Formats: sequence, structure tokens, C-alpha cells
Amino acid sequence: MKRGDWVVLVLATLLIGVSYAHFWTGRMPATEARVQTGDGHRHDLPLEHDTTLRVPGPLGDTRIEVRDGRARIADSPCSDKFCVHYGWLHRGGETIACLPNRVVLQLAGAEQDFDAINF
Amino acid sequence: MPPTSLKLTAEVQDLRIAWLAALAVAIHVLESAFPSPLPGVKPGLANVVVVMALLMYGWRAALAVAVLRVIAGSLFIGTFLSPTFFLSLSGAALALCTMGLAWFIGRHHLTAIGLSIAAALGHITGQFITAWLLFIPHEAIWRLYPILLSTSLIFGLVSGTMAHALFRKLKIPAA
Repeated sequence: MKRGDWVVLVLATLLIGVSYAHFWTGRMPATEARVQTGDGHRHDLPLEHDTTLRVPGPLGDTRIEVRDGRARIADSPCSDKFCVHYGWLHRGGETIACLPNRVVLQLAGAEQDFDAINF
Repeated sequence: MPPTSLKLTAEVQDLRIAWLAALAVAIHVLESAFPSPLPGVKPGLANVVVVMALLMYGWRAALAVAVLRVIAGSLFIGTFLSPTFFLSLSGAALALCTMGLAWFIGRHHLTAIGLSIAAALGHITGQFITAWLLFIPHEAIWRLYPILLSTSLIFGLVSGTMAHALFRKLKIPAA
């Protein structure tokens, strides 16, 4: 290996270090919790106010809780309760989908775009 | 009267590029048949050929081999003009840019190893930019970037070492 190779190697390592520091620290601050129900209703809950919200689904009411800038599904009438066990959502873009009761809870920042496009 | 037939003569350089491109396509197709442990992680051995082309015949040869590999390779695999093709194309394009930049700045201080690392990092970066702009316009995709950047450094080192060994074995004077 020549001197230039070492320069490239060091630069590459630096770039990797910077990329970890930049992309793996908690950016993407969330400002609100979005609740989407199977009947097409959407509720936007600002994260700065602690609230609870009951939304109806085919099995019964799902209870959403917002506290200390976080949000979770506190209670759900579904049978396996994966949504409840997921716990609190902190970061923007984090999502819980409760399929049995058709409720989706997502934290969102100021801007919301498509999640992914597939072909 | 217009000529009824067109005769193209292949220069020696054209034949060299065709040989190298054929080799790169073969490696590209072979590699695509292997399953990957992590989505997006591929050894990128076809780049060994592009690095060799750069070292042996210069920048334009490397460009030709890379472009031919992407187009002909995708025709063989059946991904031509599909999302995979655009990922591949943008990866190759940025890899050429970073490798070319390293080449023009310090060609006398570099071996295939440095060039290969530069190409590998450029390749994954190009793919991420395309994936982000066209297919997954969500910033969460960038959380994957550091991981794939790390693996690309490893694979760049590996394929660079291979290209370096190959280059020394062949003992071809640089262009």
C-alpha cells in the first residue's frame, strides 16, 4: 500500500465515523402523534399536551395515551396486544399498527412524506 | 450513391475494453446469483475489473467498462430499466466519480487498494442518493447508510487487495 492508499483509508474511516455520528443520533424530532382508524378518521394529537384518546375500531375502543412528549397505545381490545406491548413511541416516523382493531399510531414531525414507493 | 454497408473497424483499445467489459459482466451476473446475508450488501467484485481497466488503460477505458457492465449486465439479469438498474447505474456513476477524483489527485501515490475503497464508498453513496430520491423518500433510510458504508469499506479493501495482487501478477505497464 502506498501513501495515497492510507490517505483514502483514513478519509473513508472518518466518513464512516461522521455518518454514524450524524445519522444515528436522535434527530427527526416528533411534534405530533397521528392516529388513523379503519373508518378513515384521523386525529392529530400535539405531543406537548398530555392527553388520552379513545378511538373506535371493529373490536371496540383503542385507548391512545400521550405523555411527556411520547405516545403509546395504552389499551386495546385486540387479542394478542402487540400494539400495547410495543410500548412508547419517541421518534418521528415510529409507528404502531394494530391490525385487528385497525388503528395506526404514528409519530410525525412537521413534514410527512411517503414511507416508501415500490414497483 | 450512399454506401450500402458500414464497416466498423475495432481498434486494439476497443477490443481490450470489450474483453474487460465481458469479464465484468460475467462477474456481475455470477455475483447476482449468490444470496446476500444482508439486503444491499454485495462484494462488488466486478469493480476489480473496472479498477484494472483504470490502472492499465486509463480513465476512459474504466468509464467504458463500467457503463458497459451496468447496461449489458442488467440485460443479462433482466433488470434493465428497472429500479435495480437505476440503483446500479447511479452506484457505478458515483463510484467512477470518486475513483476518478482519487486518480486525478494522486495517481502516483495510489494503488488499486485506495482506488477500490474510493469506488466502493462512492458506489454505496450513489445508490443511497438514488434510493432516497426515487424509491424511499423517507429520512429513515439514511439510518442504514453508516452500516452499508462500513461494509463497503471492508469489501472495497478486499476487492482492492485482489486487484492489487492481480495487477502485480500481470505486470502490465500503466497507461
